Amino acid sequence: MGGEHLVLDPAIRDWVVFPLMLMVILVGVLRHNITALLKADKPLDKEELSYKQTLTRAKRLRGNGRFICREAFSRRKGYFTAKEGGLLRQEDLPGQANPMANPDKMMGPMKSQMGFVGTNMFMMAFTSYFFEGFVLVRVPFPLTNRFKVMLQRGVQLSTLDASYVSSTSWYFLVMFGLKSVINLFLRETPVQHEAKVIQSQLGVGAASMGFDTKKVYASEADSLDLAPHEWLLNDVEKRLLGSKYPTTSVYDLAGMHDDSAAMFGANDGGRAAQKTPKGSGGKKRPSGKRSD
Amino acid sequence: MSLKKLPELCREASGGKLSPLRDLLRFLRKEKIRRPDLCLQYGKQLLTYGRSLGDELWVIHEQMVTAALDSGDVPTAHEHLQVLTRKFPGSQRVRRLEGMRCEAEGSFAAAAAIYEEMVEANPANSLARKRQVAVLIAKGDTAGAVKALNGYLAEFAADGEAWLQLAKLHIGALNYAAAAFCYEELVLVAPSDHVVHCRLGEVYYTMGGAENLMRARKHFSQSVDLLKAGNARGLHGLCQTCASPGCGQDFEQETYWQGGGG
Repeated sequence: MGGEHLVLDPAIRDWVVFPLMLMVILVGVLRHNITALLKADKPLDKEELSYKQTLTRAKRLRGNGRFICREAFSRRKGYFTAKEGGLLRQEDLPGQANPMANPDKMMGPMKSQMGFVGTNMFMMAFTSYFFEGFVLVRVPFPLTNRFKVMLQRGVQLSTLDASYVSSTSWYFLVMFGLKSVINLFLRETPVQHEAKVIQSQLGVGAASMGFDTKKVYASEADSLDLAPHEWLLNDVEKRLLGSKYPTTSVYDLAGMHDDSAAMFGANDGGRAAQKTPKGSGGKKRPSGKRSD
Repeated sequence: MSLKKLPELCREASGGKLSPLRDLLRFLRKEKIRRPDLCLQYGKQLLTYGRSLGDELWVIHEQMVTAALDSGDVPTAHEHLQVLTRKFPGSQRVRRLEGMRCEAEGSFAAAAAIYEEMVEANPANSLARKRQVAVLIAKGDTAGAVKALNGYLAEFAADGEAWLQLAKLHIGALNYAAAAFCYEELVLVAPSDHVVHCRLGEVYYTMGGAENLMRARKHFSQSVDLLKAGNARGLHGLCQTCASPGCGQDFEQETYWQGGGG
């Protein structure tokens, strides 16, 4: 049957293929709006929010801790990870919330699924009612018979070449394939984005599911415990002054306090470097030359 | 950085066309630039376009309310607030603006009552809780404000704005050790912000002592390193720190600390 080609009526293209695509796009937009309507803005769980914020702070300490001095770092580290009474090692942390315990939380995602399921069912019924058994398009390359399940849903013809696509399958292909096209229509305007930010500050929005405080805290406490602290500002003067960084010890400049001040302080246009007394002692200090 | 765009946006907006005006107000909102004068001037022109603004109309009304309150123009604020109240009765966002109007009028008790009610309705409402602190500060009750902020930060620990406010309050109360803690927290939030490093350096410098002076010098240096041009405050702090007795002698200590750091 390799050479036999079905001739597809151009009217199918004009009256089925394109309208179906258009419908899928429009239904996608509609679905988005339905979901937005069904989504209830419930107050966030204050406890969970607070746990998350503390976690953010601990993560920040781990990530940026090298910018603060050792004492400040270890004080905070102790606050978070102390064996006794450390904030991340509290005894009575809630584990993963049981979704059954809170039917409201269960209903939230279900409601948002409703729009999807509802429109999908409608579209399925629509395509199969009007275009049952239609062969809409032919992909321009040969395919193996395994693709028949995917591309020829609703048309059980063993003799039909696998590169022909049935109406129901075309609907699915378009629905999943055009997701990004639909998203173009639904692009968030700046105002909507701002509204979202303010909503979260007002403490409403969709609560997330499955935040296991106990587990997350324990792992964060462990990583924080292991986090090394190397004060990044140890050699900041070296970075700042570059080649002008003095290699002479301050002790060799005894009695020249003002000069040493200029040496460290004034970095304006290299005047400081000229002021640095070069011939005074000249004892080189290894710590000054370290280039780490 | 972003402030550089402002004059240009203003020049374009002065033509009175819809989209430049809208862009200007959007810019002010997004960058959180406190220029109530500009907002009032151009926002008024923009509102003459009315309905063609779509949903943004209400955001602009809101912006006008805060700008008017900021410049002490309570009647104008009231005008825009009424529009919003009519459109969104029972909205928490509008309710907060109402509370702010009460604050501007000086009736702190009424404002506090509004915020109290909002927090009760939704304990996760961080904006209302921050306003509560603002009321206490406006009343001059620093101790109360510090207490309230501490309570707030126990729950919203990652809120940089609150840490900044707490640092300012502590500095006002000459409680430098606590202020340093807050600024350290801000350094953790924004380690590449030269302002925070500079402020932390100032606090360390004020506390004094060899160790703190060394830390002050480090943070001032970091500030200057992050922004070399035009960072007069950082440079001045650096000079002051290095010129103060007890700062220059810590080469030995620095090595010691480096050793301890490894």
